[in-house]
Amino acid sequence: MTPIQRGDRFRRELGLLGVLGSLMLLMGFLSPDFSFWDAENLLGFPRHLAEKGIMACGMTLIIMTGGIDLSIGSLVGLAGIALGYTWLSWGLLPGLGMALLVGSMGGLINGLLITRWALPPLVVTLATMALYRGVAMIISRAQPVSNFPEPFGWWGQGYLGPIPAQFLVWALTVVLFFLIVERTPVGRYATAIGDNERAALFAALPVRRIKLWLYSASGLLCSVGAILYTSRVSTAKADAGLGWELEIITAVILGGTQITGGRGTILGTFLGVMILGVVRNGLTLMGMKEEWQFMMAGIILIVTAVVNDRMVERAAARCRGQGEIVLFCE
Amino acid sequence: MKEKSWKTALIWLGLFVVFANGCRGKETSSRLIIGLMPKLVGIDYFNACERGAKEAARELGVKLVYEGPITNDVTRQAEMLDTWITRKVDVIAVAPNDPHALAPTLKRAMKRGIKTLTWDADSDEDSRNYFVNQATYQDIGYGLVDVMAEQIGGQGEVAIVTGSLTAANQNIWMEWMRKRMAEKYPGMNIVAVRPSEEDQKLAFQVSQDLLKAYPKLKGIFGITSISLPGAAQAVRDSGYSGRIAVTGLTTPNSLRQYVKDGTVKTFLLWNPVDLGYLTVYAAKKLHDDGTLPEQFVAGRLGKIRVDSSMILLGPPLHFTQENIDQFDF
Repeated sequence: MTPIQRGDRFRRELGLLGVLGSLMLLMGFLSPDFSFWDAENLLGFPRHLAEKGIMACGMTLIIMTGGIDLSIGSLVGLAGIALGYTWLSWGLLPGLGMALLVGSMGGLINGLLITRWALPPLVVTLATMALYRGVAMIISRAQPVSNFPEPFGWWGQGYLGPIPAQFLVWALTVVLFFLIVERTPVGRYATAIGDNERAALFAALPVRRIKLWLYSASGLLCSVGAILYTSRVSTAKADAGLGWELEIITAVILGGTQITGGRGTILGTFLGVMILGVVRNGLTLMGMKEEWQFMMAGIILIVTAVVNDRMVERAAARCRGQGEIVLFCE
Repeated sequence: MKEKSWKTALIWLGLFVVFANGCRGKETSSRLIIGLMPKLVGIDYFNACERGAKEAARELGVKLVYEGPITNDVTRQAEMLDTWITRKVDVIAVAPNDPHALAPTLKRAMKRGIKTLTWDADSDEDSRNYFVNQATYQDIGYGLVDVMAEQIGGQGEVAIVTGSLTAANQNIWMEWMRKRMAEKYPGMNIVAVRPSEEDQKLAFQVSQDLLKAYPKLKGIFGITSISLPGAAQAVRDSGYSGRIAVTGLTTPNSLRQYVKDGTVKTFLLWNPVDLGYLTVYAAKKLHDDGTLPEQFVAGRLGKIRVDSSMILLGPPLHFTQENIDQFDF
């Protein structure tokens, strides 16, 4: 772990906030008629991020332990299909319950495979990524379910005051996970496991149990994502969430969580998701072609990663009271 | 030290913003803005549509915005349509990657007074004003089966490589294909339907798998512009050219080599240049009149029929070794 002292704790997040602010400023000026700053746009674009932002919270904790969960995109498809088909036969409430159940079970299975048989998370979730998507395709015979009742659409299309409903769910999730990481032992345990799993075991930390819980929680968040997504597009389909895992991992890393584990931040992840979203929304408003957008997104990710890394180095250097700061400035 | 670098950064940012803002082209147009969104960008088929659309936009003096996702991702389409609503385009014409998932977004656009069209594939009827249909589903489904039957003698095992298992137009074509087989060629049966997810490598791979899994296979349909070249390549590379019939829907450019070497004898497609052209004409007409009559004139295409809320392009073209060189798209 990089020895950052208390005063420097949220330095990385502050940096990201600066990046986000500058990007919003920039996108505002560059978008036609400043349309980026239209209230409608500012409140509208987080709609498309909420599901991923929610799932990114679980991913952050898992990456903190040095693990990874590639199955989350597929689990969105599976939980969505569970919701759709249960709704068709038994109604909406059982449907929602089933979605939540299927998601957490999916996560639990990941957790069990990883802890009981000590398999690498990459292998396990790579397998379940295919497995869950396959099951979703089989159950639905690739037929989407749509025409959900009007009130259900609120979660994905409605507003509470001026704020999109799913943004509230996202904000709540972020706060909840922030508190879990900062105010309960879970955050420190996850960090310790990611830092040195063997040491954590010797220190009698409940490594298995923590992992089991984290993978299940990640699955549960996939269900929430699936419900919001299904409500937003009013369709439950087996190929929902395709490729989300990579976008989410990107945002988590951009946010400052260390891919090898041992360090992570929920606020950083939130900002990471927002930064990617702002870039995407701004460039789309400018009418930039998708091919170019992908390239730009890549460049921005690299720049942010470099800037971010230097800031940490600088903070670390200052902590050690050495002159390295000169090396890293200009 | 630290403060100074922050200030420098701020000044640079400020300068950049002012500069970039000055460079930005002002949207001065009181001209009509038509937003045309394909299922995905960067493939022959939709490039041809774009060409036709640009031609029509030039003739009509409207501003055309042509943007789409780089994969067949309906979620991304919804996101992009939202920015179009913010940008206040006058007409939205979209080729949805899912039959229902864009409906909430399109309805929101309609509420803002934006006219909406679907083209190439349809969305829920109450979420768009009209659907520009490239060819009736029946024409395509029957046409494909007839071409295949002619080549394999009207009976035997066939397989289908489709785009995505949830794409509405492809599923309806397959329904008509099954209907035609049941009616006219009871000896023909579909043993497998595999998705290519609009990825040519995957199309190649699933076609190879089909060849191995079904030794009695006599023909493969590739019913999207990505699936068919993949299937043709698999058949040729496995040495089945001439023994296994391949047909389907795609652009002449993507299949030219396989037609020349005899792997594919005949395949079908409507003219995508005309489809893009017609969509822009329909969009303009819809914006000007608020609704479409039973028949209207669309530039060089002449009279176009409107059947309730469907705008019809006409019967599909048959491409063969003889005529393929007349087309470049």
